[in-house]
Amino acid sequence: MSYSVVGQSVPRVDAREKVSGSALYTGDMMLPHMLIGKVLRSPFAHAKIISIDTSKAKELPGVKVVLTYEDTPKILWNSAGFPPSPGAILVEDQYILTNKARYVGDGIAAVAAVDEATAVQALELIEVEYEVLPALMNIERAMSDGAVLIHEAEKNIYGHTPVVIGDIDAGFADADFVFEDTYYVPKVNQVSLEPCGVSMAAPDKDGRITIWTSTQMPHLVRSITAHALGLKTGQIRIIKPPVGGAFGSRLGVVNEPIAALLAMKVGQPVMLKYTREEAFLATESRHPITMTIKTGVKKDGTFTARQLTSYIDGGAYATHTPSLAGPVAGWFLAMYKSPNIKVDNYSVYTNSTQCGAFRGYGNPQVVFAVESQIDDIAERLGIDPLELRLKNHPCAGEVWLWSGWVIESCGFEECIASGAKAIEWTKKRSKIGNESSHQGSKKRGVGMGYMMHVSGARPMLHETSAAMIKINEDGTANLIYSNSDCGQGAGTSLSQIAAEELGIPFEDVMITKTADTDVAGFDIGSHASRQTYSGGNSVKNAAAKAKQKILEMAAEMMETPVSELVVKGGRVWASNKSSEEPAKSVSIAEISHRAHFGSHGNQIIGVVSEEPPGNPPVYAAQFVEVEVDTETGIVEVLRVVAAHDVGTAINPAIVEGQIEGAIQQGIGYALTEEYCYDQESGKPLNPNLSDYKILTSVDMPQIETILVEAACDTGPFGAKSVGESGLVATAAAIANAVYNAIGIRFKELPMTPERVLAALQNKNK
Amino acid sequence: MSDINYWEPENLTDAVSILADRADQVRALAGGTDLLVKMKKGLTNWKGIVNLKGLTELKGFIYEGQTISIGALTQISALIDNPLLSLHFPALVDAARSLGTPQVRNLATVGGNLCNASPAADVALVLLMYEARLLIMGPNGSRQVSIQEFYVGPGQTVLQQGEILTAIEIDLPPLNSKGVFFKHGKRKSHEIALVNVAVLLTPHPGRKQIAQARIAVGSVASTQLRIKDAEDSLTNSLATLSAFEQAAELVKEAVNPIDDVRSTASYRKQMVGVLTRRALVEAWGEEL
Repeated sequence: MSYSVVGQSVPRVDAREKVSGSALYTGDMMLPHMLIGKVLRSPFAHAKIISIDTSKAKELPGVKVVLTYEDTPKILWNSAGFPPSPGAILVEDQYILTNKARYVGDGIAAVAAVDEATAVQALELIEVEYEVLPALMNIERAMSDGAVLIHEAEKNIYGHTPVVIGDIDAGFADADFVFEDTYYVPKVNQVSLEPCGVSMAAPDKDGRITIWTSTQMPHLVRSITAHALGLKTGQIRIIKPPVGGAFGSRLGVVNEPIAALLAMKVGQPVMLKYTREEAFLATESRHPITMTIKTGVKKDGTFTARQLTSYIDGGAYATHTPSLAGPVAGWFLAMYKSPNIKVDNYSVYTNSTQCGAFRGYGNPQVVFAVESQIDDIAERLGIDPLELRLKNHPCAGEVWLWSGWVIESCGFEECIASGAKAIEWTKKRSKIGNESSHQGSKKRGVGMGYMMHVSGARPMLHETSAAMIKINEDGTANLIYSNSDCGQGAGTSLSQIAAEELGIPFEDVMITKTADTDVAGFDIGSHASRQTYSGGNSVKNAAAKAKQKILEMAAEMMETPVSELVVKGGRVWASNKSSEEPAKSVSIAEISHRAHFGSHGNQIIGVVSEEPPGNPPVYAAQFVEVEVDTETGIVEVLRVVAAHDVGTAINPAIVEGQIEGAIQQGIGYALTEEYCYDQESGKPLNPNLSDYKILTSVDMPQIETILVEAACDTGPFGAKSVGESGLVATAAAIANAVYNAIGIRFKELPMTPERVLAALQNKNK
Repeated sequence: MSDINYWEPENLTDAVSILADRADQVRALAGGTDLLVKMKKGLTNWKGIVNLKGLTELKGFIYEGQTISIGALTQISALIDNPLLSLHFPALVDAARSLGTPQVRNLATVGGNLCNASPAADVALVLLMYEARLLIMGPNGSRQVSIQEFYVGPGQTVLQQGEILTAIEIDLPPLNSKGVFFKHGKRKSHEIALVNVAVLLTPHPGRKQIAQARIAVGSVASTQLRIKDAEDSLTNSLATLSAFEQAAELVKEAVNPIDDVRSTASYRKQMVGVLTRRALVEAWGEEL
């Protein structure tokens, strides 16, 4: 199908302001009488607070308010940006400021002062007496007999998510081979350019409070913040300015309640802006998970049984963890078909910073484990890894176990075919560990990984979005939308969808770049790669409603039935009865002018609030070529071919950008990134960008993205999703390429030079 | 951060006298890429800062005969942009290129890289290999020390109260010699060396034997080191892979690295061997 705006790589609606530096992020804002907030953080990973004396801090000139647990509402809450829904298990175990420190960085007190230096000085004047408790820095210690309890949960386990399909024992009995392996993936940070945790709260004289915040989900942050503060939802107004990247880190409340409480107590605006170190110390990151996977398989590669047992290290507070355990099961059971499946996921407290959402929401963890083992199975059976995947993946028309719904479209075969061709799979896989330059110390290998992902989270929860299209007097259109674009470009894609449906030029659609809960209808936010699919459906349907009214008005003006009219290029055209007559048309500007000021006296507006009819999965096959330096243990990724089935690519440049950016995070996950803690004291060892190694532009390999557009029926113009999927399979593909290069299977990430070299030396012993 | 005093002296004499009068309570500021980070982290209790940036006479290059003098306030990025350095001291330019990020290189200075006395410093390591002479101005006039004598320990140098490093002199290396700088880290940019190595090999005429070898290594002891035993093992020996391997072994024996968040002692020890051998092979530049 040919479109005029959809499928075009139009420049992003926020490109000019961001490139020129004129975009105003939350942290750039200033209000008259604005105070600066700061949080006092626990230096201990686990400690009772015996006493706090804030008197000296309060006496410091310039300090306006000092708060501790005593001043916070005694309401337990959960920061996860998860709507109340059947899939949500929201353990409420947090206070705005804690009365017991559960990780290094836990918020003990907060101050607001006239400037930052005074606020910092005030923190130093707060005297806290702690009784230090043992720090439980990993799940083994946390679950051990007699371990001290972080909250009131036996053995520090606070969730068990079981899934049983068929008869797992019969499945294993039926297998020719059974594989069982345990994998571990570390805690990693989203590292958005704008550090996580920036909000500014300003109370008004009517009992309401406005919070400007760098968030992915304005509406849910509004209701959760209201709950934590003991306010009505309507008392809070959330404004979301441009956001400097999120990747899940802002998928819920970060520090909004602290800023709001400070502001309300003092009656002045308060800015609370976390440093990079605080973003590492005190905001949510990716879950470390220990996964044991057991797979029963026939000689021909048919799976008879698949089992996952995982222990999810959620850190000090529950937040997303028990809710994430559901998708973790979902990712596992939906990847490959098997008549017998069993999953047991356990949520465990430890004394590290709480974990939450990070691009993929458990999928990169699961895919690393599953795809590593699949390669081992393929090798043992003597089957090409591509064939084994093609034999067992779920296809269009089959039920996808993640959602329980029928798969609408599947481009996986094409992903495999085009990706394998681009990386020269057949030629390169035949030469295992082929040597290259440098005294034969460098070995090359290729590998791949496969993944499926969601377009929203239905039916686990409602994917509500509201959109309003209003046609202005001049024929341009405003798109009123709770635009939670956090840098991914959703605001641009949604504008393209509106322009396409309305039949007007892209430039004539103006989306609300800033989200405002007082203005736009309820939107669940940017999660689960949903904005283009779910939000896009609402935008398209709102535009369709407006278009219908445009056509009706045009029919009146042109004395032609609606059925004979089409909109194109900002004009309504009557389809020609005979080619003799010149085409008859009227501009939308004329139509809108008549609507406003002619006989009717109304503005053409289309409004919807709804959720999309489905959740079409996307597929990807990522292929990588690596070079392993066997003398230093350094793994260099030379090339990545990322073949992604995204449905219709509304804006191909944005889609490619999403995939390439995600691959940067995927390579870091595989090779360099990891939170390091002193295992005894629980002190974080690398909460900064010098010691926490994200890859730089010069580290990035050549990336080829291949877009496979297996359009789906329910998506706007056939679009599915792309936001998260780019990094899901990357680490697995790299681990498989490393195996191909040096014959060593890494079951733990990251594959640091130290670990790779040690493994090479063990192998040669 | 509490209130501090701040000076911007207009000439070297004033700078020296401010620093000398306030003893160890004030610090000299050059590029600030280490100093300001430490201050922001609250790791210091300095009472004042003497900003040297106005001392333009400490900036730039002077060529005299066989010697190049580099002003201590010369930015790292200026080393990269200098064609004569690229010609005669390519290892120095490679080290400059590997330091930090473009933003850091535009601020950080050659003198700062030395005075900070980090065992991991990149430019300072190559200057150790090129046997730099350091010119120092103090309340009692000027003096000169060899770079070998400059370091006392991590973060510590022989600079006395009120003394300022003003210039770094290096002589053109012997004809036909080749210097090489290798750095090992987890990424290719914005990286503090896990191990770095700078070597120089000078062949005898006829190019079979090595006339002279210099080997300097960083991040493997409390200060950067020249490894005399390894250098001596190569002097007048045939250039063979096994000779280079043997020299690399001697380097490994001579170092004493530590475990920290960035790596382990054992890994650093292995890497200093690998890097030394590779750097020697590269410096020899022919099939062995």
